[in-house]
Amino acid sequence: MRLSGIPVSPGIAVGTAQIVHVRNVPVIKVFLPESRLDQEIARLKAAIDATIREIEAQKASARSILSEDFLAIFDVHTIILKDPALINGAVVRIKRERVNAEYALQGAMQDMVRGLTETEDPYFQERATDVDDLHRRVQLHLSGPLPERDIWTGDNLVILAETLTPSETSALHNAPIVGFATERGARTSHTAIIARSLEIPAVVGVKGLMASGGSSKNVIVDGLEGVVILDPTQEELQEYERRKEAYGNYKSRILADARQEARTVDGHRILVSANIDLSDEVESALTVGANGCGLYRSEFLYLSHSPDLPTEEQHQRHYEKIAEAFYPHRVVIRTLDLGGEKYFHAVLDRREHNPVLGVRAIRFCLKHPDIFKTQLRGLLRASRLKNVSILFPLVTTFEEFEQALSLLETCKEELRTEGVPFDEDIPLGIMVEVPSCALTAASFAPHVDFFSIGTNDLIQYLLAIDRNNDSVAHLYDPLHPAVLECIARVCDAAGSSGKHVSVCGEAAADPSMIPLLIGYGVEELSMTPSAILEVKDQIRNLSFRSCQKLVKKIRKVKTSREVAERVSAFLNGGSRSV
Amino acid sequence: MIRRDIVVMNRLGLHARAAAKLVQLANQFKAQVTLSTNQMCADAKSILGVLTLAAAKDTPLTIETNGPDEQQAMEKIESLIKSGFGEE
Repeated sequence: MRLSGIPVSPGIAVGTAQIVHVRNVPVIKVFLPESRLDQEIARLKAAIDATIREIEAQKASARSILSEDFLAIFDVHTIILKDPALINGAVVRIKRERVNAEYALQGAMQDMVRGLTETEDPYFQERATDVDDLHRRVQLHLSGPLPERDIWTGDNLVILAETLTPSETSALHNAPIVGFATERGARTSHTAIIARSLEIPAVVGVKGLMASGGSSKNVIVDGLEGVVILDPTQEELQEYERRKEAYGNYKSRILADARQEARTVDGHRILVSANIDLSDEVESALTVGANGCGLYRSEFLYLSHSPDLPTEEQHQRHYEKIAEAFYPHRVVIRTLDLGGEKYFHAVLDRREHNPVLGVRAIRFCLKHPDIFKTQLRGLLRASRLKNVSILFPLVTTFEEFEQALSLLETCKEELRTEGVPFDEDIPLGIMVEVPSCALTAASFAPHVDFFSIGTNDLIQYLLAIDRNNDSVAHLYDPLHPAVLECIARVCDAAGSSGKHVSVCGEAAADPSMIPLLIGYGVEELSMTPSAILEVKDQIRNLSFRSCQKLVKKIRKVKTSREVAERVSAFLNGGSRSV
Repeated sequence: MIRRDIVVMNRLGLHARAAAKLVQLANQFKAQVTLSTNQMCADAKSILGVLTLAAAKDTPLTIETNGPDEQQAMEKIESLIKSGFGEE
């Protein structure tokens, strides 16, 4: 049976189907005789201990993929499970009400959640779902040995699941997994990110997967085309084994070219740089020959210190490390983009109804100049190698830009007075994510060193689509003529002032978008490190002149379908002709 | 039993991250460790208890340790609170 979904991590996997159910154990109240109570208490303690051991093991295995700051979450889980208020609460219930461990635990956990919520500590309010997850896991231990443990034997497993929680995905890290397919999810979901970082093929949003996958033995996951085949035929198996091999050969060829520049057949150079969230990813970016970091998302530095804020020295040390790692390449550090739908921090106002349109990014920073200045000063101090650039996110009006600029100037002046060295020529850019900014790019062009087009948010704002809403996801369309028009305008404005344009959204790694972006005059594509090799390879097979001709023709096109057809015709012939 | 008075010095008080550090430390000792403000008393080995104290900066606290390693427990906990929980 052939199902389709969204390909989120490239490659082809052929393996044994392994269904992962998020099991919710129904809790039943049972009255016990007095003589059984001690045994029941021992059973409860053993289940809690087993869960703690499991968390510690997960922490150990996640150490290689997550940084210390994120590992601290595992410690918090352990502390909650060791809390005497929880254990005593459950034990007292067993003794007093003469009930089973499961029921007593449920009551004590509910008290715990209530207690944590009442402390009004935002960090723990955010952790409420974690506590639910912990509860479920202890209940699983109470209900008997975990079946997962036994079934995880075997090789070449392809995981089929409704969705995977962070704790489940990190537990999968050491299992012999060759592919993922999930019923729900999008490109940005947790499974997608982990799969890409582990370089395991994955397809998400596969409708009907759980209904049909239950009895399957073998499965093929095609993370290139977004296809999942349950119990493939002999012909399909042969076909996909062949494709898998071809893809493997292709991968080793492009890896061999990692150090080479990405130049079109007619010699036009495109910088291919990395989007980095966590400093752990720097290594993989360098391995694939990234031309620097085109987007460093500083949010994670803040999240890892939540509910505190990083100090100026912490900013400086953090950015310096990245700048040193990429030297002599450039590192573009985007100033704080907290808010929106993605990131929450104790400093934000949680009562906003529509945070995507609310006080996020530069709006937040201008409202809190003290927080902003700490980051700017740290950034400037980290610029001594002269390879750091500053990028302001979500600029909507020229006044915002002026205010941000004047704060930056204040910080520079302060540092000069203090005698602290920094790069006096530090390049400054703005992110083009709001349509107003794209349409008025010409006003900004003389005052910035570069533009960075954030296509994900630009498309969301331009086409009025909530990226996380499955029912409108099909309207999210980078090839929409309005999106292309915005990109063209920014490139025109930058071009006439001799300024640099980069693109750092998903579009930068989208094979249909790349010839268009290059044709418009985009000089840098920044993307998740795992996409870099393939994008470089594609660029080497394009001709700049024919990309320019292509965008001229497309400017008159009315529908994205027609754009798609033209791009596809272009890629299937003529893309190399000069 | 040892008892000592101290004042919470770090800017954010006994918030989640600091409380987690304190509980982790208290759990390393056999001694019973309690913290009290002039209103409540909490088991320092319970994250829920410590958070419920809601001790902001400048709150006076009384630490009590009771058990075989009470001396060592007192010293370590006192110095953690005095260090401002290693916040910079």
